[in-house]
Formats: sequence, C-alpha cells, structure tokens
Amino acid sequence: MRSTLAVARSGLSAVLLHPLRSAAIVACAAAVLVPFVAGTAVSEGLGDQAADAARFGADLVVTGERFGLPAPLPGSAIETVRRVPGVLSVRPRIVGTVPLGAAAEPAVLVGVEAGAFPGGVRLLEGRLFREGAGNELVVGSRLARRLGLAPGARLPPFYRNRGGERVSEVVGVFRSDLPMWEANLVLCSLETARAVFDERGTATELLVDCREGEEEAVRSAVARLPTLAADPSGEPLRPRVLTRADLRALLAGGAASGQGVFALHFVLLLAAAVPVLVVASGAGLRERRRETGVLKMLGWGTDAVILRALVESLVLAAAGASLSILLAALWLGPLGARGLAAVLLPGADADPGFAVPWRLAPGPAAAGAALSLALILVGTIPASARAASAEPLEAMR
Amino acid sequence: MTALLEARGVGRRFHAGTAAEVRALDDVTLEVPRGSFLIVTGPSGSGKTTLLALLGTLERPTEGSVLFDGADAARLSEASLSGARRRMGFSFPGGPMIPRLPLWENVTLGLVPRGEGVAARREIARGLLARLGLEGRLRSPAEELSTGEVQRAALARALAGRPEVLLLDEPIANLDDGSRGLVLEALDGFRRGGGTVVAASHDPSAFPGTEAACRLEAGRRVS
Repeated sequence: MRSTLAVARSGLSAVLLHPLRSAAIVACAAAVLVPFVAGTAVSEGLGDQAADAARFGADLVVTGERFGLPAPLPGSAIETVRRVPGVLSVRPRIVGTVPLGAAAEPAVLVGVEAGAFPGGVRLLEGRLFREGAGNELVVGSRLARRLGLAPGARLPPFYRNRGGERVSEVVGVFRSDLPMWEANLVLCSLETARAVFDERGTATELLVDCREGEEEAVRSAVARLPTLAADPSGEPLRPRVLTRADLRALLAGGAASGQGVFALHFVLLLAAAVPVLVVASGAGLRERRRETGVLKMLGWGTDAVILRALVESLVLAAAGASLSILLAALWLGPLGARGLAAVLLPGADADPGFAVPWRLAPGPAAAGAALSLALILVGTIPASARAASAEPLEAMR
Repeated sequence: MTALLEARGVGRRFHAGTAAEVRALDDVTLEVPRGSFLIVTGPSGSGKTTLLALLGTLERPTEGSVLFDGADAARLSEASLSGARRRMGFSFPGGPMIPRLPLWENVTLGLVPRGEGVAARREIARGLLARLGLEGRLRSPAEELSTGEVQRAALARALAGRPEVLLLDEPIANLDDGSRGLVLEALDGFRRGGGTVVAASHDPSAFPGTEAACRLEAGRRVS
C-alpha cells in the first residue's frame, strides 16, 4: 500500500516535470470540452425554462382542430369550457407569426388580455398596451434592436384585413430574462391580434386553470366535448387538451431530445479530437520513453510505471475538466454566450441580445470530466504501456 | 565464492539477419563471484557497455544466457526481473538522469516503488551526495549538472537502493583527481560491506584492488 501511494505521488510530480506537455494536453482537452460543457449547460437552462413554463403556466391548454388540423376557437368556446365543472378561469390567447420590417423579420405575435401579461417580462422602455386599444405593440428587445424600433415608432402596415391596412405603434420594449424566446415576441391586445389575423371573436388557444386536484377530471370532460362551439356548417370543432404532464413528457431527455442529439454530435467531435490529443501527448514521447527506461532500470515494474502514468493522466484530466467548466461559465456568463447562441438556438444572432439561459448541472460536468479522462488516457497510456513493456536499455536509447 | 552473476556464451546482435547486422558481443562467458571486483576492459566499441547491460538484465542476449544469483534471467517473470534489478545498481555515461527532476529525487527514484517516504528519501540522497561531494546540488535539476557531477550522481543513485552488485560503465572517466578519489572511496566502502562490482573502463590501473579483469576486443573475450 505504501509503495502504491509513493508511486501515485510520483505521478503527481510528473505533471509538473513536463509543464509544457502538461499545459498542451490540458489545453487540448479544454478546447474540446468547453463547447460540450457550454452546450449542455444551455440545454439544461432551456430545459429549466421549459419546465418553469409548464409549472407556472395554465393547468390546461385547449385548442381546437378540424380535419386533424389546428383551427381557431370562436368566442363561444370560452363559455363552453368555462361551464365544465372544476374550471376556475379561462383566458383566451392568440399566437401567430407575422413578418416585420423590410427584411420580413419573423416575429411571434401574441395577443393577450392586458391583465394576463406574461410573467418574467420586464419593460425596458415605454408602457404596456392599453386594454382594448388597437394597433399598440410591445416588442421584444432583440426584435426592437434588429428593426431599430423604440417607443413611439410607427410601423407601416404589415397586415391587411377586411377593414384595410393600419399603421401600428410601438408603445414599449421589453427585455425578458426568462424565457429567452420572449425576446422575439410582439405582445398586443386580443383586439389587435384579431385584427392582424383578421379573425373576429376568435382565439387560437384557451388557457384553463382548474380547482386543485381536478385537472384530470376537467381534462377528460373537455376532451369528451363533442364540439367546442356550434358551427353554422354543422362541422364539429374538436377539442385538443394539453396538460402540464403532457408538456413535461415533451421535455423528457434521451438521445432523441435536443440535448441528446447535441451530445451525439459531440461524440463524433470527440472521436475527431482523439488523434489531436495523441499528437499533443506524443510530442514528448521520446522523453517519456527514456524516462520509463530509467524507471525500469531502477527496478520499477510495468504496473508501477503504468500507475504513475495513470495518476498523471488523472491529474491532467481533472485540470482539463476544471478549466473547461471555468471557461464555459465565463463564456455563458460574462461573455453572454457570444458565438454559441447562434449555433445552439435557431434564429439567434452571434450576439444574442437576450440572456441565454444556462445551468451547469453536475451530470454533464461529470460527463465532461469523464470525457476529459478518456481523451487523455487514450493519448498517454498506450505510449506509456509500450515504453514500459520494452527492455530498459532499448527504451533509454 | 559462488557466482552472483554469470554469462554463458552470451552474444548480442543488432539488426540480426539483415545486411546491417552488427555483432556487438559474441560468445562471452564469465563469472562474477559474490564480493568480487571485476574490471571489463577493451577499446571503444569492443562490447563493454553491451556486456554490462546484459549482465544487468537491461537487455536480453540474442545468444547464450545470463544468470543472476543462479537464476536464468530469460526465465524470470517481469516482476522477478524488476526484483532482480532492485538488487543491482547501475551507472552509465550521462546517468541517465531525468533532466528536470531535482537531483535528490533522481538519486532516490528507485526507492519509490519500495514505499520509501519523501523525508527518508531526501535524507538518503543527502548522505550519498555529501559523500560524493555534491551536497550543494541536492535540489538542482539534473539538467543543470556538469558531466562529472552527473557521473558522481549516477553512482549515488546506484548506491541508494543498497544493491548487492554495482554495474558501472566508465565510472571515473571525465573526473578530476578529487572527484575520482571520492568515487573510489565510495566503491571501497561498498566493497567492504560485501558488495560486488563490475566496472567497464579503458584504464584498469585506476582501480586498485581489483581481483579480476575481462578484456574484450571486437565483441569477443580475449582474456
């Protein structure tokens, strides 16, 4: 035991014995691992946001469909759902995409009641739209920057309805720390949204809150409704109900999830990185062989030589993983994920203009450390093992 | 006296079977009795270093066999070979040392797998280096030493493991008179403790009190 500890301790000093080689190996490992750690941290952050959205959002989201496709809900559907036992409140919402600006920048237009303004949204400038006021828009900071919008700015007509065209006014700009996708939103009253999409008295979805413990009963009752609203043509408007549990199920991880796919791509990157590390660690191969020859001449067994190299690799791997976590945290925090957001988040710029969500979870950090170790072991152990199995004089030559 | 080391018809060829084949050693037989001092002499390229390496189990002979304490080195397991090497002390020109490692660590590197603690190792190195006039170089990296200092440090390292036999290649070449005296004194002390020495040298007269000599020429033993 004492001899094992003594050999292991010599592995620690071997790290400092070759500072340049050690630094090159740690730098190589960090270069490969930083994108992995940062990417998984962003995935975790997005997952957290989605989970929060599911937790703090409505108990049920009700939409309608015809021929299996989403269909708008008439105003009468609100009353139909409200009458279901166990329902506390029903809030209509309109969600759709509109092109804005000369470059037809895609924006998500959300029409809500003024009292149902999304939580987490922070006004940077201006004010919220007034209840019932038409064509007053509150835009996300990212969109405002891209289109050069500020409170008071007038948007030339970007929609045409049965009443013709209307000029819209930006009354406020909001920045949203959570969730990030709200930075690309345009918020407006239900009336404005109905005018934009030319759908009078309709909503695209209903946010339903239920009495505690009755969510499942309400879900079943709504799902069993033959139609959400009477239709002059007699065609039923079938309800589609999404519960929190359904949303959470959509967030489940695995190889098919965004994070899983990202991890899968990273495995391919790792495979490409192995030769780089082999070259980096092999830069001192001759020196390592000679050293091994000296150790063998002095009576070191192959197992002791390998243990020494293993401890050296462990220390380098720990240093590589720690450096990666530190650099990833710097990248995501103070540097605002510059350059990374555009890769990971569809539609985001290199300088995203919103707080990219991230969380360094222990699982991915541990996976990063394990990958770092695997990479360095692949780079160092075979060379050490080969040198250790050679005859001492041959290794020293 | 029983033979501690024995070479039976050993030969060593490099690039065997090719046009570039070099026969470094050819059919050499010798015995090194326990407690003896054997000098291996001969001109450069005669095979002295190769013979030392074969006797020290640092290389395998291509012909013949080497016996250490009666056991055929070729039949020893990897662990037994390491164990045999721990009972020997080596010094070759240039050490060889690990360049960036402090001298005290270089000198006691062989004690690490024996579980010797850092403080004990430093004390052992301090004593040995002082005996060889290197007390001021304890913490110096080996790469900062002169050729003569490396040579003395290599002897200190060879002695650190309390070996039964020393295998030394030109242990006093490149040394000034003072350093040479220190080395010979250290070897004398080792021998007085019952140690065996095999030294390769161009100048056998520099080693007083040697009992036997083996002269090599072109890889063959001539006397």
